[in-house]
Amino acid sequence: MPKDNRNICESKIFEALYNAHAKDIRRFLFYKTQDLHKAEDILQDVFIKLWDNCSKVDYDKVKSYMYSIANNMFLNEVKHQKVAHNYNKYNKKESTNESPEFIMLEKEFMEKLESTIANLPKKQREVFLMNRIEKKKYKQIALLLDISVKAVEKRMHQALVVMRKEIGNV
Amino acid sequence: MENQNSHNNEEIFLAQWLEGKLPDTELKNRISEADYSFYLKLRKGLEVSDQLNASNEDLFNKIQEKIAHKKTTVRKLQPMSWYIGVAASIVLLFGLFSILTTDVIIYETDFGETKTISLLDGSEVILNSKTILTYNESDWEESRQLSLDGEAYFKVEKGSTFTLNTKNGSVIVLGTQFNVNSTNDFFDVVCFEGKVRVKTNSSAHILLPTQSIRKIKGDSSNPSTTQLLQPTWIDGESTFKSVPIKYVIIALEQQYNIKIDSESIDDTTIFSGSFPHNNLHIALITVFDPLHMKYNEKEKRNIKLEY
Repeated sequence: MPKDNRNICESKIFEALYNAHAKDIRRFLFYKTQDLHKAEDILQDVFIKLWDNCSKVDYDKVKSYMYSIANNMFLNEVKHQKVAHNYNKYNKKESTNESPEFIMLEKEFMEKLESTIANLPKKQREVFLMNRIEKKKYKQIALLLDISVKAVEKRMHQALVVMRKEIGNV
Repeated sequence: MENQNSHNNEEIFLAQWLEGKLPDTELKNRISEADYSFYLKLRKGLEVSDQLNASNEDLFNKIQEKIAHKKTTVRKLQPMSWYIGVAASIVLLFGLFSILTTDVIIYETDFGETKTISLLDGSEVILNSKTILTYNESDWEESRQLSLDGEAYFKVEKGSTFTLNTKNGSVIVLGTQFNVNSTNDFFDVVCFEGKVRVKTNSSAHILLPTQSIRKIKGDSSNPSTTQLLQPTWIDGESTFKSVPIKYVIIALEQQYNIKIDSESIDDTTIFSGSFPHNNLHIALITVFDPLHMKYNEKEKRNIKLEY
């Protein structure tokens, strides 16, 4: 197999790599951290590190390289968190910014959620996506589809019931 | 109104809750515990899903900003690493040079110090104070060659030609005992045993036991004789026979780590005698009293000579 000699140090190639992988790495980091801000912080560091080492990394191996640094940085972050946690324990600082009932979003749950949305009956999916992705209010959707607000609400309600059934207790 | 609401709600309350029109607490009352926690999780999952699928171009701009900022700091360091690289190469080159070319062994004595050295062939050398002896270990087998600056007594084992080089000339022997003093332009060789060949730029001599030769500034004196079996400095005493006082002063300075100011005396005055190595006071009396010179310790280790 011929070796791919594309140079990561070229800013065009670097940007293409970002566009191709950044979202997936962000997702990967979110599943680990359960915190989107942290995931994005680490994502930034991953790409900065890739740029620093751009001449040393083979283009063929860049994907696994990025995932390994992402994982290592996550583990470092965990280590740091433990230290910070112990520090806080000794300082009797009890207040946290997290909500009291922390909800864990596992990879399996998120994947099931997304596949279920994709497989919703057409009418429900249409309304659901307009609401979730396009951030439209039920009223606006009703106008666009030329149906009543109640009909929109019914479809949304149905979609949620289907999801409950499909996803079950994860 | 409220009645109508609750009546119709059966088919739409989840949609209303998701839009925020129905509070969490009311949803909790309407459905089972398991359903409630599922929907809470679903709501959060939907939010996160939106965020995860959203564009992250902003982030790329941030990354580029950070990289651009970093670049300048990286550049600042580069000249430094360049210097270190050059310095390391020089050190490495010199190291290689010394390994590849010579295995030079250096022996050195300080003020008032003597040192006994065994050479590779069993020959023995005793160094007087302020003396440097060097030889090359790697080609010692083929040619026994040494360099000397100062005074040393040699007991050479029989074997190949043994050559001692000094600034003032060289001494060549086969196996013998001899003393060499080569300090500045003073050159003195005494043979105690065997036969010694002395070569200088201007002359060549062969010394037999008890004979000695001396050259001062290249002017050689005729061979003279000594009654001693070995040089006296080995036993802690320096002996001189008809030597200009200048060289005795150098010997004193080297033995006691002092400075002697001889500006106001005639340093070509001839001296015969000896001085001990263990007592500066006695040494000064024995050397300078017979010559009617006064010595004066102006400061510590700084002596001025006067008539």
